[in-house]
Amino acid sequence: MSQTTSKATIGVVALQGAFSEHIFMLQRLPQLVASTVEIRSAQDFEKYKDSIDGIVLPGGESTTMSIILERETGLAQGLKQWIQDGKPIWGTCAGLIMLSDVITSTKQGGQTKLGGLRTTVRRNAFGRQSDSFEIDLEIPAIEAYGPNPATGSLKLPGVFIRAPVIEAVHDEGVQVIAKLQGREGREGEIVAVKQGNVLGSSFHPELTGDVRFHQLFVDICLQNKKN
Amino acid sequence: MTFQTPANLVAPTTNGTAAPAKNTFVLKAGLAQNLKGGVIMDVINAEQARIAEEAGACAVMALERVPADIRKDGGVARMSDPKMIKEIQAAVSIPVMAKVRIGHFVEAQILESIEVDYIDESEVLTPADDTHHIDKQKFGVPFVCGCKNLGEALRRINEGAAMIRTKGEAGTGDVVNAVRHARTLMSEIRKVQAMADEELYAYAKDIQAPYALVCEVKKLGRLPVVNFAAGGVATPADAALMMQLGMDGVFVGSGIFKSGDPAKRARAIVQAVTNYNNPKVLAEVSEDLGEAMVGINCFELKEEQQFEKRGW
Repeated sequence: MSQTTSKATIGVVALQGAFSEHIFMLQRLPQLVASTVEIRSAQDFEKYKDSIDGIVLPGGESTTMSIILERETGLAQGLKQWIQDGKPIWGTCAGLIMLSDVITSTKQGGQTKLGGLRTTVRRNAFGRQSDSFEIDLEIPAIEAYGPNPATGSLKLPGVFIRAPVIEAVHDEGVQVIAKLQGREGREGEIVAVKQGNVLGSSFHPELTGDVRFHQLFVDICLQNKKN
Repeated sequence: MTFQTPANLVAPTTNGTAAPAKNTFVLKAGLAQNLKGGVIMDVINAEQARIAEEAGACAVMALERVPADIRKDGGVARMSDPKMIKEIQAAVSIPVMAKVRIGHFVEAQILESIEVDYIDESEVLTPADDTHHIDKQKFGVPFVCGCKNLGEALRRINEGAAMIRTKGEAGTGDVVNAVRHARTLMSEIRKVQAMADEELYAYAKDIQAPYALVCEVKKLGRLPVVNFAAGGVATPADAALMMQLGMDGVFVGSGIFKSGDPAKRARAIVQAVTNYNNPKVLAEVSEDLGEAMVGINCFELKEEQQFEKRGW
């Protein structure tokens, strides 16, 4: 029993987007993750909410996800409550957009959100697909896990696809954990934050071979579970 | 829980350098990975694009005529007017795709210059080259291509396609060919997985696919890129059928805007793709959708009317 209680069970919201990639990455951490579950509906959420230690909101199209969540009111309510209760949740790309209190550059008429992360996030901040890019990121929070085995570098491969940026953090409770460097004319944008047990990243660690950012989130979940 | 190995889980190529890398295969295939579990809808103007966006489409395909009309009108079908595509880009915040004729690399250059997010080198338009497809490796913009089987899918990926779709008969409302292609593809992938390594050489030759990509399929147990269903999807049940057959998402062409209540049908198909394994939800969303598009039975099409025969 002690074996399983020291490991985390992670729920991945599977409405649309790169959810299987997150599950794959989490399964590459068998020493930390006992199992993963897909959450597609309010029923799934009710079924799993007491057994999971953290939730991943994957990347995808945030407008699509918000429209699906508008219909799945039960699931949206459940997730909002989860965030209010201060339980661990991590949004990548579209997931970050859903978590942010303020969203700019939305579709006409705006979009619904979960909120809870005290930030302002701009959608498609770099432009269309032709402006998507990969860049290595310096993230002190993951350096304790050692270098990326594929490159030997401490930096994390950052994959930015029609990515958002965090334009502003609203108070000191929101800790900046990664900024863009090395992009001419576009330096210093905030691309990852942590607010208590809430993690947000505008890039896609699940599209790389580097599991360290996932490890960071699972550690947050395990720490929260212990307390 | 079932688990599929996702595509392209490889380290990016930046390797410690400071400068950003653009137009890499990780970015091209990665956009498609973000579209998974979603519905891509054919639209012919900004108004339809907005309806699609509000319904929850994860991307739109901008084209002048939907396949059903291309079929009806006959003649040569070409790339759409760039002005129309730009209007659609301005109207919505989701990715905008557009089609070029098979082999017509200049149409692709034009679409790349107006920054469409994905190009569909499509058999729905009249082919411009009866031997060669576009060398998609040369482009920064990602491409999606159609396939009937594993060999065709791997030939397109070898040319640089970052996303694959089945080549169901577009504009018919008959899903039978999309089903055949999906089944063929999945069955050939299972066959590759069961093969001994030395059998892969002969099999690659048989299906006219590059050996290295056949090995990759064996390793991953799936195509190395995202694979959507396309062609003939007209109802929520059709969309869920394609998902249960193992597709990653669905293109819907004429099925939406040739039906009685496009907004409602579009929403229903999006819900069906999210909840493809839940017959109760499928029953709910299938209720009261109004008239479906008029169908054409694929078995009644003459050979020269079959789009799937286009592409080599």
